[in-house]
Amino acid sequence: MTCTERRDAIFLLEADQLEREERDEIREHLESGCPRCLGAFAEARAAHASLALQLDPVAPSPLVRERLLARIAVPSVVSIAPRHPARPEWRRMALAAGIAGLVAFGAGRLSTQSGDGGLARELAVARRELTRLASESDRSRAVLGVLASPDVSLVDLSGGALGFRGAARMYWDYESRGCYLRATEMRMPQAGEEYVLWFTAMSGKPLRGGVIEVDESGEATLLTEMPAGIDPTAPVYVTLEHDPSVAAPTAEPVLQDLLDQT
Amino acid sequence: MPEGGDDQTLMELVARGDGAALDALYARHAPLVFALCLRIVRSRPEAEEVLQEVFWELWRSGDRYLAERGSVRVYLVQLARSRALDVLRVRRRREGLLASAGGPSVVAAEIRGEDTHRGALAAAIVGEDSQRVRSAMRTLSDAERCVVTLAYFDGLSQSEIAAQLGEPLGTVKTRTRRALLRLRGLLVVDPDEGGAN
Repeated sequence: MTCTERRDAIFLLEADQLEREERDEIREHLESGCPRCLGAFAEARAAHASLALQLDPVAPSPLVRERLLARIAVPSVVSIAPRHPARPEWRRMALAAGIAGLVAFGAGRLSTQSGDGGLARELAVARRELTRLASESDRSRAVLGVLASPDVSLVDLSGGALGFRGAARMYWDYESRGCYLRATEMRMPQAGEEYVLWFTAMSGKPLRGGVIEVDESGEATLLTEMPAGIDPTAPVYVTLEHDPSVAAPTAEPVLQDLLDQT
Repeated sequence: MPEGGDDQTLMELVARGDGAALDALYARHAPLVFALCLRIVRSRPEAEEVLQEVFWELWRSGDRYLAERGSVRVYLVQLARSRALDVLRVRRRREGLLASAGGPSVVAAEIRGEDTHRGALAAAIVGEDSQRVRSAMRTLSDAERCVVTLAYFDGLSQSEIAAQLGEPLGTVKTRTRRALLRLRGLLVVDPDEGGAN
């Protein structure tokens, strides 16, 4: 196949419409660094993404922007599970109570000192922090729900035999389909790449489990619901995908093991 | 000032932790990203949640953005589509496969241009790129637009589209490829030919 002939195939690759054999050939060629085809790939990405432009823009609620700006204004500690040793629950509750107290105190002062802009700003920051803590608490409760289940199972996904340094431990509950994965020593993906978790259906077909977001320290967590109809005796694995939205894996696993270790 | 900078400059500032630059990118791109999320998940609260996560991810991982791999808009659209489809897939697994895919009646309404998500910003923001994409989509037959829509906005595989439309898998595959390649010819400038087909 010539580079000119590949141009159509590259567009179909971006749209996830190639058969595995053709997809592998194109990917291999792209990985060889052909500048012409890499250029075509970038164009295909832009063209495929531009399909969204047929939609009329819609204004989101101003609260979304407010929440986003509040979120970036505080240290980045929001994740499904803490990256550092867990803060005791009583400390979390004490902090939340303290902030709630500050909010109440601030509200009281505001009622008697209208026009105090500094205090109003402090109150707004405290409210945002309270919202953030509530959100973090919800996620933590969901994680605890998986970990505390009497039917929880454990699987360690290893990359050693696959030439990959990282590792992950996954807690899962077949009944509730809750799944919590924690990975360490993961290589940071390059731009546009993401780690994706896959299960295997009874039919042998791969079932997508979700995107695993790795932070700067190489750690990652994923809280997700396992797909219905998985084969608990089949492998669960992680691939590094160039297109995180793919419905089936396009790369070899970097981490894997059998889901049921019994 | 961040409000007036181009996207690339704003991304460089975001990577250095400049919140005002993120705010400027949000003001510029949130309406399109939100429209895409809303179209995919079909729930305003969930779409707003995905929208916030997309820009949060841009904030956290801004240093991983590479301009040579696409514009900021392309990056945001890909990220939003991926995250929104994840939400949709989880919901489908919970509620039953294809329950929230919209169904033929919704898709049929959309391909006739009766999108129910039109907002007040529409007339002001629709730009040249949007017109080009819409013109390209209008060159497709209704059946072709239907398969492209189900694949792009509903994240359905070819076999799922065939099942939804009650048509043979081979027919759907052929139709999808034909439609996508026609769109490619209209949306991608081919360097060998010196312009769009």
